[in-house]
Amino acid sequence: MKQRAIKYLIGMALLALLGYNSVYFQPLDERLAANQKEVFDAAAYVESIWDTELAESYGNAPDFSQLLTALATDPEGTFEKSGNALGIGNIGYFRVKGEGTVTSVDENHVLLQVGDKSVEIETEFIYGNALRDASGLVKINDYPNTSDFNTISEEINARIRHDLIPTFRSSLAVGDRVEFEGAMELNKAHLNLQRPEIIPFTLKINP
Amino acid sequence: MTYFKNSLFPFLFLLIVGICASCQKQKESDPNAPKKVAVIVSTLNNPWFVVLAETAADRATELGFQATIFDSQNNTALETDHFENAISSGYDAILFNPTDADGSIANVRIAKRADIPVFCMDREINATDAATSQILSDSYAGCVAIGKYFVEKLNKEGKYVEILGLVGDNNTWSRSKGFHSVVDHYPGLQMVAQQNADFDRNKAMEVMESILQVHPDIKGVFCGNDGMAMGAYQALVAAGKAEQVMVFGFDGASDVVTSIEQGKILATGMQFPKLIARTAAEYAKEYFGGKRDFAQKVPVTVEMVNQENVYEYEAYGSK
Repeated sequence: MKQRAIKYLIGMALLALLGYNSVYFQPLDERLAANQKEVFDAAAYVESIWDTELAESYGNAPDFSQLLTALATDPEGTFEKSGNALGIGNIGYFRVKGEGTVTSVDENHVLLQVGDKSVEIETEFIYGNALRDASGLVKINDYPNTSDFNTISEEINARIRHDLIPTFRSSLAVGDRVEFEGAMELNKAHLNLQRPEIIPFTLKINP
Repeated sequence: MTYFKNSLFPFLFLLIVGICASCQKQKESDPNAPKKVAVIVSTLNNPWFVVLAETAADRATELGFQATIFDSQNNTALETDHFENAISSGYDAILFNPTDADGSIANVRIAKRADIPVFCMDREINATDAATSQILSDSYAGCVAIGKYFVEKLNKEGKYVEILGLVGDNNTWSRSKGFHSVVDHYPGLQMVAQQNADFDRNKAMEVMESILQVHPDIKGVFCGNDGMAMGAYQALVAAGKAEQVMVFGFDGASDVVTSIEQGKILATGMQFPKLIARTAAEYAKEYFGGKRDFAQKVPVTVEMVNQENVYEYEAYGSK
């Protein structure tokens, strides 16, 4: 009888041990968080490259007037050498920097005279991929999710719209000298260099 | 029953072995036979996809392949049948326009398991380890440009409507997100309705007719493709509001390019289906030549066509 009781006790202990190691409890929110895929933080990524790779890329941009001369004389070669494009098609993006004199300011643009060229600095519609793609720093195939890739542009553009443009426009006057770095989108099948438009990355007023 | 088991299983085994051997023999018997390329397209009920499919097949033929077009009729089950047929019939590559970004993944994986390369055209699948390469219109960037033009033309204020394509297609959302990445920054622009019409002209007309009854004071309509833009325009004409409402499309289809010239439609995003299709066929040739390191996603730029630059464009491309 005593032996049987010991056997039962050992059996129950074994079952309890087996049960304890078979089941575990975890808070549901922890479990869900563990199952979630890593979320791409575009703002953090842009912050990490803003003052380093991006600033360096635009700081080393080709001179605007020289680039325009090259595009006029050898468009195909200049697209190949200085343009950046994500895939295939007619659109190419170019980094540029230069200096010009403010000739007019309207709701959406600032017009600069750069040498013999009139140049539009975009100050309203800062959207799209020009700044991201002209830099050549970000590759689509590094991002399995195309939506993540597009949020990089949105973050870059948002910083320009919120941090650069309001200060620039508030202290601007016709006749000011402005140094700029930025990106230009051009179509090689329908190349129009009459009034280039620049999406700015930096703008500096030299009154 | 024992007799049935004993006789049926050896028979089936021999039949399967025979079929496999026959397939293998067929492939090995004539190494000089032209490669066979299947062009599986989501629908041939839309002229844009007809151009895509026919260009892919024509380019494949020019390159010396035997090409056949299969129409999935926007049905992933039918698409699966086409994939299975293509595999069992010994096709060597598939140029593929998916029906559904998620629903089509399994079909691409079936082909991958059979060592048949798949080149996606225009539409994306939500996997980067299944297709050999995906040649895709940059719908997002194209619709950013349309969004900017939309804001300018509506002068940053007014009520508007968005008509979406197929909700299961990534292009639907890439276009919508690109458009809204601009338009949503303007509080004066109020979207009063957003409905899907599955990229279908007639559905878009019906949707637009219903919306106009509730919101007769809209100023603009953004449509996820040109077929729907034409449908929306027809509804506006019928309601006598064609002059009041600006219509924007996406594709670069023949009738919309003509309508832009005539001042009926404001703008569209010109995709390049012929370029996409030719590239896919040429990638297949490179694959047959031994290349394997294809970029998973190859974006094709989209250009905005409006009333100022329409003279530079024609249906489905540049002049």
